[in-house]
Amino acid sequence: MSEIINEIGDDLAAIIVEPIAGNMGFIPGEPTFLNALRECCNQCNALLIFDEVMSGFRVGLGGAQAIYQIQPDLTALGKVIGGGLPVGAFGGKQSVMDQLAPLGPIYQAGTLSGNPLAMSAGIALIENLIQDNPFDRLEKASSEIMLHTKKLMNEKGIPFSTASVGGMFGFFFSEHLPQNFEDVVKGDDQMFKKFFYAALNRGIYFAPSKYEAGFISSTHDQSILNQTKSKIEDAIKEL
Amino acid sequence: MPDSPGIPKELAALTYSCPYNNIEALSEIINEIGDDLAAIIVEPIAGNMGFIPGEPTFLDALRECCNQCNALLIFDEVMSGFRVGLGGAQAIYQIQPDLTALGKVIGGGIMISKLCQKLLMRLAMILPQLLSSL
Repeated sequence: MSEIINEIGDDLAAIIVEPIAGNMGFIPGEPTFLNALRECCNQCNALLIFDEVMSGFRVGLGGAQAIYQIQPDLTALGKVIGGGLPVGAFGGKQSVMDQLAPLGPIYQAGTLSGNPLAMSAGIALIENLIQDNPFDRLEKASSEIMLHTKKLMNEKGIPFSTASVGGMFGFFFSEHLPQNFEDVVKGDDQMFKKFFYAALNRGIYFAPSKYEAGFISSTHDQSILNQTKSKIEDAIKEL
Repeated sequence: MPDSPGIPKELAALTYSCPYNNIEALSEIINEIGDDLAAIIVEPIAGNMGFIPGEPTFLDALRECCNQCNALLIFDEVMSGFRVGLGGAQAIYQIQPDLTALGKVIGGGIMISKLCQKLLMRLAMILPQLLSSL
């Protein structure tokens, strides 16, 4: 990153990043890396934009930025914030948001902006998340599933690594947990495919690519988790 | 109009804005761009500057320009689709665009948008038969 920043210098307009990446498998950002991004933006007077479309309301009520205690200038949200309806949202510091119409010169409007149905669904879900606060439970559930899987894979001598935060998780068929896209590419594709289909045939539907993240829902109770674990065990026997 | 702050000048410079229903202005712009023309996007029945149905001669000229320059004619029928008729403005004018953008009505009240290729004309042809056969 330092090399790129040295090249761009003060021309840097913005850095956009998934602080907890879900678009190249599941890779939580290194705190030192994310802090360095914030520092670069401060020095170049550029905007730090967090893409929390996946992590927002999944890793915790305050998203990744609350976990890392890093304040971006803008945040992009989607998915969970719509409560099941299609929606996208962005927000940030007042100094930035004041630039938008009607307060500022940047035109931003659309037929579906603030769509009442999506807004109602989203608010209802977030109110429920505040009341129910399922994030500790989600964290426990996703790590329970993943650690169980890792233990069984290791017993079979299959290289396997995994990570989870809140209701998000990921796994890789590589010995060490990938730190970036280049690492993810190196994971064992054939083994991923075998495991994916072995699990699917038993009713466990993981994301169909090693470049995607997995999600646990608050409706996945202990009996569903136990069932999932035993089916994963069956699937691994087939590998 | 590509004139909002936040749109880089380099990108805005790739777009030309032509006065609506003005064939002379269109000819001037096309002469300037020539074969570099990639696409023309237009509301065939405009709803974003009040309500102005396009002149048939103007819309025909757009189709002709695109044919000559091997460019795409894109109809923005987000507003007119399923409002002016089942087949949209393109069925009324009998002009076939290469791409059609839809939204609003096509979602039946739910948020949706759609990019179609030569779909509306087909729908317009098939739906009446389907409906009458019910």
